[in-house]
Amino acid sequence: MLVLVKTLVYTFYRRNALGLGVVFFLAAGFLRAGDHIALATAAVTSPLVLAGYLLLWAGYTALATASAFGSIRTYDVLLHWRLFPATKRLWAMVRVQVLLLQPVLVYALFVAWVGWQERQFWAVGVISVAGLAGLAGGLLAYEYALRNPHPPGLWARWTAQVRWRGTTPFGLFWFRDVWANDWLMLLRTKAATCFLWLGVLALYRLDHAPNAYGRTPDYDLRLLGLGTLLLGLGHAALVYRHYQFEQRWLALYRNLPVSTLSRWGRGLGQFAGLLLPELLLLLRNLPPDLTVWQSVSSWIFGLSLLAVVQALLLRTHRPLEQLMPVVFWLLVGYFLLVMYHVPLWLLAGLNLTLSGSLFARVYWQSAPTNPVPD
Amino acid sequence: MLHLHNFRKAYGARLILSIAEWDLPPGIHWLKGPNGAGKTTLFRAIAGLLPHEGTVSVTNLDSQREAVAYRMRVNYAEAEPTFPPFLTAHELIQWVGEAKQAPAGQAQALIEAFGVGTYQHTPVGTYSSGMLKKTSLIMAFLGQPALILLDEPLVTLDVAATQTVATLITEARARGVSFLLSSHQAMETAGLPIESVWQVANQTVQPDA
Repeated sequence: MLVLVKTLVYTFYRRNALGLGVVFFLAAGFLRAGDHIALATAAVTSPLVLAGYLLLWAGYTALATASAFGSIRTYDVLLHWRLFPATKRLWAMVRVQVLLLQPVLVYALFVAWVGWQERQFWAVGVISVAGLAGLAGGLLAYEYALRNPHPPGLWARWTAQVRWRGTTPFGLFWFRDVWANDWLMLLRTKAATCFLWLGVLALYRLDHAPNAYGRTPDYDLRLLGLGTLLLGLGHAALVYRHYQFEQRWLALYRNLPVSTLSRWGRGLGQFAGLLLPELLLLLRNLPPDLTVWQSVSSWIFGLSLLAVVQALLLRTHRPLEQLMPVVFWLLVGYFLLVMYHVPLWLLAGLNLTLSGSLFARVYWQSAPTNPVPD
Repeated sequence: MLHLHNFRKAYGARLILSIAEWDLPPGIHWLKGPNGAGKTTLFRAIAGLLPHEGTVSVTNLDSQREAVAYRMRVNYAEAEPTFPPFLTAHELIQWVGEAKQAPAGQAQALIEAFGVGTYQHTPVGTYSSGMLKKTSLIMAFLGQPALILLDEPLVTLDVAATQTVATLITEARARGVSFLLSSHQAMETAGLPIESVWQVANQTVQPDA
């Protein structure tokens, strides 16, 4: 049982510690006891509110079950679980599922208790059935995973067909690596930077609206500069993955007849692809009172920051946690430069020149490291 | 053909290799040496993967000053190749073939020679070490190289693939391609016309006694 708890339960809570922490913080810090009782009373007296609760619990159950299901598929040693007698195996599954669903089950018990107090027995019944369904769903999923190890899934079949028909261009190698191994970081980063960028663009537009009560706008191009500074350096971890990918998997790339300039340009092209959503958002929401060039120069400034981070990594191999202080000082330095009205096109040009020349100077001297910094 | 001048490779204060002069004429050359002697480091430096002091040139092309032309003429297969696990052999071979300007049909002929056609469209992350080795060897023969560096080319290969490697080396040699091989196994058994044997020892390269 300890093996199952460590591989299935601990893994799930470790992976979702941040999200669960935020929910716990909101539930315990933001809402008071009275609020919880009021919400639970609303749930047991209104089928619609209860349906909302059930939907949330179902989402959590699906997430937790999928995590444990994936762990069984990942660790072949867990397939030995099937060799245990059925009763022992199912009892272990029940215990695993209860441990995984603990937060939901405890809260469901609380809502059911409120329902009992309110004499809303239909709600108690619905909650009980939902809880049992959550447990049973887990059991079915785990038993299926044990009985069908490594099945050729629909996704695998589809990707196999795609692989037969085409090849991945070099420019997309790294994107595929990030997507395959760190898609959550990619989506999280893109969601955060796109929302930030949209907020900056909306703030600028609001500040420069024609009917802004005749007042002088508070913000100028520097607002966009600060936005792109944050979104550019916000991609530092992804630039690190780019560097790490080439170091770890593409040692052979250095044996290929590609000029240094082209190598730098390819990296810049990949970073431009990474920042494409922000460029599209900018073009869709062009700030008023600014020329297209002024707006786009702010995006190029953001792009140039990624090139700077890449060149700095090649200059000195370092793990991610040692890169972050460097990124912090870049943030402080560029913040001051932007605030002191240094034009964004000039900063972008200087960054690209600096990163290009640094890349040319250090690329061939920066051997792939072994082991690769994590 | 291959010329090293004042070559020196160190990791920090630890000297790995120091070669004042080394000239290899065209042909097939065998590099021997115990584990950790620096054979792979030497291969990787000649292939352009590792920075080093001094100069390395192949057919008078300098590895640093004429980086692109040099790499067009020097191919390399690693002893233990590693590739992005999600890519397929087909994708990797296409990529290297395009970069090395492989003649039309060359990649397909090599794929057939090594018999990787059946699995070339599956990700290399699912390959055995022998399948990875074959993929790496195919890539080393792509283009029109003057020198091919093969680090432990026979390790993990089955008997048929070993014979394929020997045949390909012999055919390429007939076209004027030179080889630098390293192997713990006796290369004579592959029936290759080895022209010289070298020993990596005492942080340098010397003729094998």
